Amino acid sequence: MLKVQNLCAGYGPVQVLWDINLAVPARKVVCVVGRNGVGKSTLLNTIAGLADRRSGALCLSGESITQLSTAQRARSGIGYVPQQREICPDLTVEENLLVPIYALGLEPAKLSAVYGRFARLKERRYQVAGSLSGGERKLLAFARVMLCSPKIFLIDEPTEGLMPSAVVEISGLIARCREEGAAVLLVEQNLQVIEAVADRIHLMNSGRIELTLDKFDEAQIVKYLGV
Amino acid sequence: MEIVTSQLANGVVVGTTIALTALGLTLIFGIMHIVNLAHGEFYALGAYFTWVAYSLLNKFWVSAAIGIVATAIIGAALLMIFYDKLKGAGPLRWALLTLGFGYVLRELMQLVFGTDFKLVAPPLEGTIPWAGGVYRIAVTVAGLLLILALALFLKKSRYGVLIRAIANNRDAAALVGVSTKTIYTWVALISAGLAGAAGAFMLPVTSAYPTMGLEIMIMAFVVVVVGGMGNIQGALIASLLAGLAQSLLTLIVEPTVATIIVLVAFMLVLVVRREGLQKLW
Repeated sequence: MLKVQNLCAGYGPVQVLWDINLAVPARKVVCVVGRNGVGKSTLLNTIAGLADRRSGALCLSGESITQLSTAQRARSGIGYVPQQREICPDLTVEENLLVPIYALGLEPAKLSAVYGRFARLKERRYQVAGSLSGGERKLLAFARVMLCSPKIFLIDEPTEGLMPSAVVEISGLIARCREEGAAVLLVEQNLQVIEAVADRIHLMNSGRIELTLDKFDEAQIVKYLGV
Repeated sequence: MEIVTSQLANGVVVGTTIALTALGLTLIFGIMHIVNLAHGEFYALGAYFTWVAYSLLNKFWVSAAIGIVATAIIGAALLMIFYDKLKGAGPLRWALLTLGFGYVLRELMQLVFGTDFKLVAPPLEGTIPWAGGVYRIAVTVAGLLLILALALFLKKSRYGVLIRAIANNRDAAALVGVSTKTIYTWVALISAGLAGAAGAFMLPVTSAYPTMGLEIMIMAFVVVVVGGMGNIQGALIASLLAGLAQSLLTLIVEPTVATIIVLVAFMLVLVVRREGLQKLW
């Protein structure tokens, strides 16, 4: 589904990622784990087109997306839920959901389908999105991206700072994305979530992938998390 | 008493004209982060294009529509040609570039149309007691309707939602497929079109002359800063305040002195409240 080959990237003059290679097949959840500042979010930002790629290639379903803009990547099937600034806080919940519907020319009926799936968003449809709780903001960010029917979800630390009930809800959503046929590239530090959803785990340090695990190994993961 | 009410009516006309120009300016800054120092020249272009169309067709409202559309297209083209090249550039680089655009446009207008005043008779004759000329009232109504249409467009329309999404969080909008270039083109068209509309409407009032853009630009810039950069409501209120103050002051002082007093008053507001008056509304 997604192939990242020899990717080097960063922001302006600062290089953050060095020679990253990974693949995320359909119906799999691939986790990227590492301490804060090792380049996990930069990896997702680069795939989504928000950080500067220096070299390397990105392919989605066999097609190169390396030269596409962020919006074109979203239209090609990249669905990114960033850790922060993931919604438009001054717009209402409904307007946030209308943005992908209008941008992609989707059927307005899709809005009802989203409300059927996320009842809490329907309750708060006329509320300004910036006033939502952390968990509700994440749900809104997921719902916006789900409207685009992406081939792959890029999800950056979705459970950070959330209450345990919201963590369970978000983990369920990730598992459901996989069941519905999408690939998932997940940056996560919560061990329970990693154990519950990950099919493969890449351990990152200093902008490089140092180790890849095909099954959950708490000792190794804890070493790379530095806890 | 009648002279005061007619000056009040005149103030609303001037305020509406400043508002149309200032709204375009604040829209393009709020959404594209461009400090457009050529914006006043779009106002002048609107007046000149309307004058050219009127010379050929002799129908004012059709000519005004042609003037507005032509200004919107040329203004947006000027900005969008450089958009890719200056992607990610800060407001200072845009300010310098548009300062150059403005200078070139002003000189071109002078070269093509000369320095004399281009006059067009008002399409509506007569006066209404206590309120002034019929045409001025019609211009005020048309300007306010345009502003209302813009507000409704931004609030209710498909493109309005996408424009507000980009203004609020550009990345979050792009991540769900919003093409910034398409939206910026719309914003540039609307922005230049609003200035063109102000110029077209004022043609029978002030006539067209090469420095008219520079004059309104100064006032529009000040009201945008006082109203809060990127704040549409603030720009509208500050414009109407400026227009009314300027017109009423002309009852007791020369028009030039009235303009100076209004500008100094607005500058004092900025000295006292650096963020302008935006938190008051």
